[in-house]
Amino acid sequence: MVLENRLHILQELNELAPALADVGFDTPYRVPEHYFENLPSLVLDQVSELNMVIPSSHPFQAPVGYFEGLTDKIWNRLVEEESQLAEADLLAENETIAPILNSIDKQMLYTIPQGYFENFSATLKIPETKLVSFYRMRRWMNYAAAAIMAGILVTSAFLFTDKRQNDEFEKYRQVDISTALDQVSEAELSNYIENNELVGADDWLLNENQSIPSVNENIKSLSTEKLDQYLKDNKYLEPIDLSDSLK
Amino acid sequence: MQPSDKDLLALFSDATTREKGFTAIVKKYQEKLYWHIRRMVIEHADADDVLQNTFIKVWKGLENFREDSQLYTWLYRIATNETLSFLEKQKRTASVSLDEMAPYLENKIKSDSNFNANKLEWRLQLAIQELPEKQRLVFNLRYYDALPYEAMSKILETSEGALKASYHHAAKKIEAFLKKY
Repeated sequence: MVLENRLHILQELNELAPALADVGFDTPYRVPEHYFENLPSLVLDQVSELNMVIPSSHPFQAPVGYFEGLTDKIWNRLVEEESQLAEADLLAENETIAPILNSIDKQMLYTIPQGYFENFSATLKIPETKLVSFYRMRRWMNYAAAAIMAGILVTSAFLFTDKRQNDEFEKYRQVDISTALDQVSEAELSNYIENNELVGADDWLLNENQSIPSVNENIKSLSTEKLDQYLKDNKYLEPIDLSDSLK
Repeated sequence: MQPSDKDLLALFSDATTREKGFTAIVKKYQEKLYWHIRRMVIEHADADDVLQNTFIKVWKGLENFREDSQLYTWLYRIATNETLSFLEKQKRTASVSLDEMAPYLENKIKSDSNFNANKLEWRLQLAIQELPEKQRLVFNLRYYDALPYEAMSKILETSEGALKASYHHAAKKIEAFLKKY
């Protein structure tokens, strides 16, 4: 069969390229000695390597706890390096200003009682957490509302008056504001808070140790400008010069 | 390894682990803050008082700590303010004038049981106490704590330039003192 094919190919070559027909069928390349004898075993070895299963235990081992401690080790190294850089920076600075400082041991000379730091946190008296109740805060808001409301009420009373009512103003001046406020109910004060902005109340709320401002002082602190503005906003009221009354 | 500030703040912010978080913060920073204070007030009993006051303030204010500065910067700032308040109070209580502060502190240093005038390290302490309060703070933070000027600027709320100048002057004065004595 092979011979038949060869003859067929020779005939074909004679027709196409007669010079090729004379070359012959031998390949001139050489192979290493015993190449083919060894080839099967070489191939089999490579196939074995590809299919090899890595055993669960291998000869190399990391120290016990290595990975658990690795993060700490790296972190400590970073901190140490940063500290060394800072120290180097300081040494260079001191060298230019006062070199003697670089020759002094920085170890603290003062003595401390034995075990001081070990016991310090245990001896620290943590203050009890104060629970500031909403009700308590609302009481402060109530006082704030009361003071402002009193100021507006009394000022309105002043502004409502005519000459005859000026006499009544004197009467109002004598009024004990605190007592008058006691007669204003919590509900009315709460209602006032909800419907009116309290300027400055936040400051009072934040500082619960601060004393309640005097209502009388608040009235005195109302400026003429504020009163004028109040009149503009309430046109039915007649303007009255209260500069003497409010001294 | 010491826990990170972030972890400590997280522990503190949780009501169930607040005390644990606070204790961890105290343990982490107590020595640094103690020495920062002690270098200014000299006596252990005074340093202990100021340190305790500092951590009480920390407990009260930590909930509102906004983390826009580093925790240690904030702690140092509280410790510094408490120290300065203490020294102010001490001046008033002892009726000591500003000019008398240096000898007053000098006596405290000399009364330490380990004091040795022949040792350069002790003479350095005497030299430091000759400085004005703020300059002492700047010197201590830079020389002993090796804090960068940027960090010191946040603690003392002073510009870096002013701090560098202050340290420069302080170091020069100390050098002159040590050469003299």
